[in-house]
Amino acid sequence: MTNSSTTINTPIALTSSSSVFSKVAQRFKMLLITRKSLVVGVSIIATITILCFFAPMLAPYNPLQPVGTPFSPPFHSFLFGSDSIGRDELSRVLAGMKSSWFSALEVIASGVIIGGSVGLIAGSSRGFLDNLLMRITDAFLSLPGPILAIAVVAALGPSLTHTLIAVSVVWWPFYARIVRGEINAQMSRPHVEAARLSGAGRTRLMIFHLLPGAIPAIVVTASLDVGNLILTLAGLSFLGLGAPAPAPELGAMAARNLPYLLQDWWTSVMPAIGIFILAFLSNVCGDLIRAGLEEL
Amino acid sequence: MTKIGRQSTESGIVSEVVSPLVLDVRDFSLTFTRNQKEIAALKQVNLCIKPNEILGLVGESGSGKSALGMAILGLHDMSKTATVGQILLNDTNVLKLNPKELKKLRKESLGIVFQDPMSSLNPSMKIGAQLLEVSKNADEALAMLDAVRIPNARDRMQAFPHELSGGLRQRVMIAMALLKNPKLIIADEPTTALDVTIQAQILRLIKELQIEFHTSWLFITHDLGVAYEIADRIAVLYLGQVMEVADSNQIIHHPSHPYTATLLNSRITIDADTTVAIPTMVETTRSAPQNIGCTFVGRCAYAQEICESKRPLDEGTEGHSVYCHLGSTDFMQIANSPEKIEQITPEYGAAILIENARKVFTKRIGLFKKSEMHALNGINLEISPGESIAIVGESGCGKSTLLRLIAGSYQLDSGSIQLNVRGGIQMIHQDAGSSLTPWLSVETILKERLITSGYPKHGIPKRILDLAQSIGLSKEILKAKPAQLSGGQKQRVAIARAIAKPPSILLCDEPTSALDVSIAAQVINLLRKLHSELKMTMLFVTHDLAVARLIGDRICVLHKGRIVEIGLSEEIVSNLRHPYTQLLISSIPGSRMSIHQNDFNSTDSKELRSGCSYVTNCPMAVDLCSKEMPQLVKISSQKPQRRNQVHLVRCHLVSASNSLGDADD
Amino acid sequence: MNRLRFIAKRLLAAAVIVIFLIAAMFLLEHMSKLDPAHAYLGAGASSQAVAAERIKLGLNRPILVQFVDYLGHVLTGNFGISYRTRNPVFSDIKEYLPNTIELAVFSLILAVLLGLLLGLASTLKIRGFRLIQFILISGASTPVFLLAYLGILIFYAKLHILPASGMTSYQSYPTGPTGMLLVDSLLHLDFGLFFNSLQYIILPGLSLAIVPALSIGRVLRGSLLTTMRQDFIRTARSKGLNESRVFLRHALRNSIGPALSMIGLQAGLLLASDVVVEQIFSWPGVGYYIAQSIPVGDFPAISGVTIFFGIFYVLINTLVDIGQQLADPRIRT
Repeated sequence: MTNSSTTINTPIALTSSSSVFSKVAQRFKMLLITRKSLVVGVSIIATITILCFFAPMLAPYNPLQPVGTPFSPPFHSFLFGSDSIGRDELSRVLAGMKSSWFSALEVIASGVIIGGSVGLIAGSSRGFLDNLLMRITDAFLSLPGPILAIAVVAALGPSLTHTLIAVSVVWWPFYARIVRGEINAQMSRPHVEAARLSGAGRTRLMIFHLLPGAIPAIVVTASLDVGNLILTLAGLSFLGLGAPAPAPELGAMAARNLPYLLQDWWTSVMPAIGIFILAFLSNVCGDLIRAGLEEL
Repeated sequence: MTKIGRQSTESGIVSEVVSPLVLDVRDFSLTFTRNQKEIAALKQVNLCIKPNEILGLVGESGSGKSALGMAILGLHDMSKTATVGQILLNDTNVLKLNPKELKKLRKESLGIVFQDPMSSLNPSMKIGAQLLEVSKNADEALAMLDAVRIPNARDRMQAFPHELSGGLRQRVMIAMALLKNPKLIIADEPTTALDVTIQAQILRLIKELQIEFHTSWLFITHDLGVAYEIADRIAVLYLGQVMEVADSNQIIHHPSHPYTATLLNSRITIDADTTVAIPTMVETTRSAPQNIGCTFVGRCAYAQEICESKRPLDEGTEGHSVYCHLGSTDFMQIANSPEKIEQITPEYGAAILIENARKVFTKRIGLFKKSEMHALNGINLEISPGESIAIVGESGCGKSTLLRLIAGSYQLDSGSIQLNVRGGIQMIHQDAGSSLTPWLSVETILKERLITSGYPKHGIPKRILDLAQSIGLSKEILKAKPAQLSGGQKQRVAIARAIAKPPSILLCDEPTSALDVSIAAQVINLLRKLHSELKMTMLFVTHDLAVARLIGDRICVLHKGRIVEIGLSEEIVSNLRHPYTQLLISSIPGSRMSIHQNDFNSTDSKELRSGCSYVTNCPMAVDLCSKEMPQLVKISSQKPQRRNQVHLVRCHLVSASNSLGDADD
Repeated sequence: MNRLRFIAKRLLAAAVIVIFLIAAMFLLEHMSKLDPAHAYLGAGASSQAVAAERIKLGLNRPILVQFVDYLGHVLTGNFGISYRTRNPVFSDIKEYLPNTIELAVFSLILAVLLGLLLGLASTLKIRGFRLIQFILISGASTPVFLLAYLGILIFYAKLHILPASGMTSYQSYPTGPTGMLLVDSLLHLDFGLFFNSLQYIILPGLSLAIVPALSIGRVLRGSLLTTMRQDFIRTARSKGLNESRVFLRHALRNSIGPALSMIGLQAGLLLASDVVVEQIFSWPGVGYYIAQSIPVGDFPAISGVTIFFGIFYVLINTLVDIGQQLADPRIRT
């Protein structure tokens, strides 16, 4: 198997004098003009990821320690107020956003890798293997994923890792279905027949002639999926299926402070708004990325 | 320069003479904006259609012919287009109407028939219901279905579009257009998606309906032959500019514009000279900026300086408009000497030996039931090394299946295919664009082929450059992705890949049917040249007998998975014996030959178990034909040099008159 | 005939999936950290007692035998005994299920109606369609508990117009044939109770319905926009039909398919949100039951509810499939 970059970039007496850097800059400039919404969407996602990564440093206080009077309302001593034992709500929400965001990314990554491989193998093999893999995928897809995840976590015992495993178990089939569909569409195109006649072997066909065709669909699906996942994970956390007590998890915070909702609304509403912000931004980016990939 | 019902347009003053015209397009320009760029799709177009007249509007892709059709209907995207000039429909300027008036106009005086009848009919609505949206009267709708010769019209009213064949669907579209009894029907490539024989039926139908209903038609097509077949007058469009408008016979026999002339020359006719290349258009160094100059200047062999700077006006005579600075000249007289194409003699032996090949496709319908489609019903074929053979037939005849069996993409159900392959098999697809991996550059695609076929690594870059040159691709194209190429360039890249390491067998699956006429001619020339240079065995699938004759040493006619006639090309064309081959030849658009054919299978759905596969459409069928499948028999008009060059026909009528024949299948 | 065969095939597939689900639950129970014998006897039980209980529960038999046993039990409605309530899980579920069905069906109908309305409104270029688009995106990003909290804060705490907990303020009510208050009160012609319980269902129902409604709306909008670009829409326009007829008669019918599958998909998400909403509004349904079971690791209860929800979901999706087939004549074989 030849390396893809050498295959594509070997110069054949056509190399221009311009440096690699200016070439990349040129490429980016073109991308910015032709696919503005794609670039904007990806940039926002990257920015959120970086901000979330450094969120604990942005937080004014330690999210686990009481730092003031309990139930201090927002915009007084603390921007988001303080909770029932006097911890800074803003610091807790920021820490919770970091955990939410990366949890969602982890599940997406596992979904893309597992589902993508299953879809690629099924779509490019046809016959028995395809049938078997797709029957399993279909069986998973015909069951209510989040409920199944509740049962899985309940069996394994509540912890963030178990929740992520449980959600990953029910999440990959979605990607398998989409990738398989895309690969199948590629398989019926003449270019695969032509590549096969050109002497490309099975692995080469899969990597160079089939998989790249599924990438736009994977990217669009994944980017539109981040918001869903954030909400699903928050729901499970709300039910107590996440990291145990002092950990700053947004769903759990919203649930634990439910008794104080009517008097001290911010203790339960602020974490929920944290979830909303993440989900909203990722949905907007998902739409931008889809628009960016579908235009032209 | 006088026109019917109208004075000079040069001064910009249009005198309002009461015109007897149905459609009068005056100095019409249309510019649309895409990606912040303005593109002039139509430039000062002048056209008219008289009552009860069919005007053929001919142009290649990008000529703006469909844009004109849409503009007449007021269906162009008004927010993105700017229009200048007038489109008068019975003296009403369509461009000045508000949406409500336009709707009324479309409802009352315009009919439309689109290219793809499947996507143009609502898939979830019964035919009857769709017709009744036009006329509330069910009897009228039914009568119209009868008028467009749809058999069992009453039952078809209850059918969904997907339950009808392509030809029937297009008849429904025509019925729908005629139902409002419009002044003008706009038909946008109505036969392009159909098989040749169905195309011939539809063209004949339109001609008959025009006489019956006294309707005027604007018939948009890319094919001069089709236009000649049906139109009273023809207008030729190139890149948004009218080139020539005249009586059909005038255009075909005495074209007065260089574009029309070259277009006609590059058409492949059944009597084309097989020893030379087809004359094609040239690329010149001249270019005209948008909106000034003649649009054809870039490909005109006769272009002069003035053509770059000034848009030509009508220099023709009465009733024959020619928009050319050179005035009207009979360009058919000026012929350039075409390139000779060397003929190669096939070697002895068999490169491909197909014996009793059968292929059945099964589709599951329901839980236990399967439907079977017999794609190939026992094919025997021996092809010599270096020979080129044309496989001719319509969609569903099994011609593509045969190629894919040889290529190894499908598995045979029974029979055998033996290949004598030293240099491998390569294939050129109909849709070149989709045969190239979209995300790989041309260079990578060519390189992959060289690497996998074991070409010495250090020689690859040079080989790619040589290849590009020999195939007529510029160096810049190597870096491009397939989507950035034109149709002709894509097909050249596909050919370059196929011959990068010359194969011993080259399979061509209708490689030119999706291309513009002038580009198709270039591709066919290239393939013929390569065939004789590289001495490949070539199988060329086509639906066009004229192309088949030009490219094939032999022609093999397939019908429903069986060979119905096979023999040397000249022999087939001059001494054809099978009624189906006869139908194919008469269906070549532009031949103006019309023979009787039964339009419809009386047993449309049921596959005949015994009997000739063509019996339901055959005008000459006798009793025996529906009982027993005829065998292939020899026709002995002349003695062929080779065993596999014998002229064979599968027809009871021929076997009856020719007792010499013994079957060899 | 073919249609019947298609329906039979779909039902068969649904049955296979339910068996698959039961097998998964059985496996999970075995992987569970919590030993059922321990759970029933409490933390202080002696090891002999636990061993005896294990034999009593049949936990020492081969796993395949246990599975066949389990399958037999589940299919005959024996889901085991809840660790928490000490009642048979099946009778617990039977008690709570009608309330959940009532809430789920109410919000599903609400979601479909709202979704269709939003989908149509956002496609037509009426005034404010950009606002609707914004609402569509933000709605799809709102956690269900935020909606519930805002609902409670506004309509209960601030405006005092809607109750925020329970199903009715009536102390006694007829125990009707269905067990669903809204239906039973109508059957008993008790309109006072009907309107009372209608007030109680509005907040949880709306909280549940909004997210699926927006998803359905979004999908419908997308498929409508695709359909409006099709050739047959051009044909319909060229007939001179009114834009409203083009839209309703030609575009909508051919766009409904994706929205239908979305309804099926949303039914699954709705079940998960239902657990959260019942918890917040103390709605005495299966979701409330499972939410109470989670903290104490009551696996028989959790797996019982999962199987029930699974069957409900599979049924909904089977119906959607069959409905889709009836809507699009091209799928008919």
